[in-house]
Amino acid sequence: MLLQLIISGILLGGVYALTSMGLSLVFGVSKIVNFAHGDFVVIGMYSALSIFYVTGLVPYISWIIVIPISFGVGYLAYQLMKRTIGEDVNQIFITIGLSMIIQNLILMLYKSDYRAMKSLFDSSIKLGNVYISYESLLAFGIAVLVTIGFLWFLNKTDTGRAMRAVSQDKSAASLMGVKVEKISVLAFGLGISMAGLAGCLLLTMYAAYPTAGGVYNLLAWVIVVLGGLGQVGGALAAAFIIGICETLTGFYIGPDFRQVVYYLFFIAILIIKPQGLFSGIKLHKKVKDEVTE
Amino acid sequence: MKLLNNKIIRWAAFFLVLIIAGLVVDNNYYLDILITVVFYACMASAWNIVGGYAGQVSVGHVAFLGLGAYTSTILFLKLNITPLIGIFAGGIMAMVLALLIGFLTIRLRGPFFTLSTIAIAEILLVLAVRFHGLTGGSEGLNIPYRPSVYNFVFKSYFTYYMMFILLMIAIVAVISYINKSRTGFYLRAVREDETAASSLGVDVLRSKLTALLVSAFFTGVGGALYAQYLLFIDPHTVFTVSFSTKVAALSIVGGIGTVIGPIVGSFILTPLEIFLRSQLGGTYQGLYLLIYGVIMVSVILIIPKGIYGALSDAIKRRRKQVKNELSA
Repeated sequence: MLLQLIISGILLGGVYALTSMGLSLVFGVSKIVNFAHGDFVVIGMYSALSIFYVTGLVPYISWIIVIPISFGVGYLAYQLMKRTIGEDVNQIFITIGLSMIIQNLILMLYKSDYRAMKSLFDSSIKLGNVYISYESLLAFGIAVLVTIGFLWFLNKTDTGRAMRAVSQDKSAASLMGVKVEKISVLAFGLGISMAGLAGCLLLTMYAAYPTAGGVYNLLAWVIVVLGGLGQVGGALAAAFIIGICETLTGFYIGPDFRQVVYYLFFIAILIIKPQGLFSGIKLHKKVKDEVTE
Repeated sequence: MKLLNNKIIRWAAFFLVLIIAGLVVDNNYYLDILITVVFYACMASAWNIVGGYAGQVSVGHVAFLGLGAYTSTILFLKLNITPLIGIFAGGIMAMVLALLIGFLTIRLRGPFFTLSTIAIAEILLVLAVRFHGLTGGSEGLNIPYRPSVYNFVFKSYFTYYMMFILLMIAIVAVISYINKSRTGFYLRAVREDETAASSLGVDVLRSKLTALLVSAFFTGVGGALYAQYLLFIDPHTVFTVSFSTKVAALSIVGGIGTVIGPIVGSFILTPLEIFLRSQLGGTYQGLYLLIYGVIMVSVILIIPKGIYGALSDAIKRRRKQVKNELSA
């Protein structure tokens, strides 16, 4: 049973990794404290749902459409928020306001019902004692593919390098000829696209409801902080830890305690090791300064 | 007119008008609206102490409200202790929680402090649902309707209204006191530039912690009073994070970091919310919160100082202009 839970946790973690990498990008490059990130995940869920209602396309295909939709939403949101960049308090409030708008717009359009996709597969893979559903495997596969693509983009392309440069030092990057504003918009749009994609994939496993954003928002932040701010690799590992943590507590303590455990985890990490779990290897002093004063 | 320049007299006049308004509207429906408005004004003012003055944005303030409400209700239902004591016990419990939160998280910079307050409120929500024996779980707790002073249950809505007015007077008095005290100056210094304040010898953590404790106390007391008014509490009403965002929104719209701002916010937004909910609640679920969100975003973008802040700025500018014209 333990092995079963750990494997489900890893599969879930793959999708969570997408959400948190998106948040990491938004926070690191665009310098926006996004408290509405989870709501962008939910927008992804409902977009996939609407596409399914209208055209019958399942999320495994429709994610290709959801990504540009999310990018567009992200672009618009960035235009709204760019004036508050650098003002933490106003940014927190404007994203909270945005979150209220998104949640209640969805509530008006779709009512408060839980909406889930009917499973496409009626069997699951059996490996020894472990059952793996096709849904979670497919979602995991797509998440991993996109993650690899994203890491390639970040490390090998000029735009990716520019993004990393902006995240490290905005003014220096600007002096080196990087168009900071353009990179900021692009990073924000990409981050939201990843959130949308994660939502699309989550829809195959979980039901969508208008206020789900609150849960996914904290989840993404927990993972980002756990993995160390601005460290994409760390976020990846943290996502798996949180995924496993969630399935284990869900089974042994009770589904309602899933969140409690990782919130406690989150507070503990912020207090004990604000640089994130994996910063021992190469500790960025700057990151620590960003969390505490 | 000279009399009105005195701050204390202005506040006294304001509260007198409120009390008279309560006496005039001899109708429970309108009294309920007044109570709700004053209650939210109290909560927003209390939030403003830490969110506005100290610049520590808490979105988990509902934890203090819920703890206050549960403390007084459980003390009354299980141990038959009068809510007269319970209300203060609620405030003190909220302070204890604030002390814990403070020690753990007050060092964290802006967004991370905010996130941990949300996390703490969510944890308390789950715990309140889980500890069924004590809290009644999801079904909540009912306070029996037996009007008496010992039970702190009253027949007349006006009595409740006066309770909330008293709370508001206490909050306004304390904020005005803090404003003029050393702590007030410290807090403003910390909000403007933490590093500079600290280098000038301001005990940053202590100032922030003081603000959090005062704010938590009033929020806890408010929660306990609110429970006595509703005669019912359940985890999803007194521990839901959306309450905290609403309270924060009131302060921002009214004017963050001012004594009057949150009150202005509540007097504008709460009646609007009640109106929208009664008019549109059935057909468009969530529309009023959508409008709340739109108002919040537009205020931050257009008048970041809030309605009161913008108004007082405009008045100051006008006065200066008049003065200049007179001297010229």
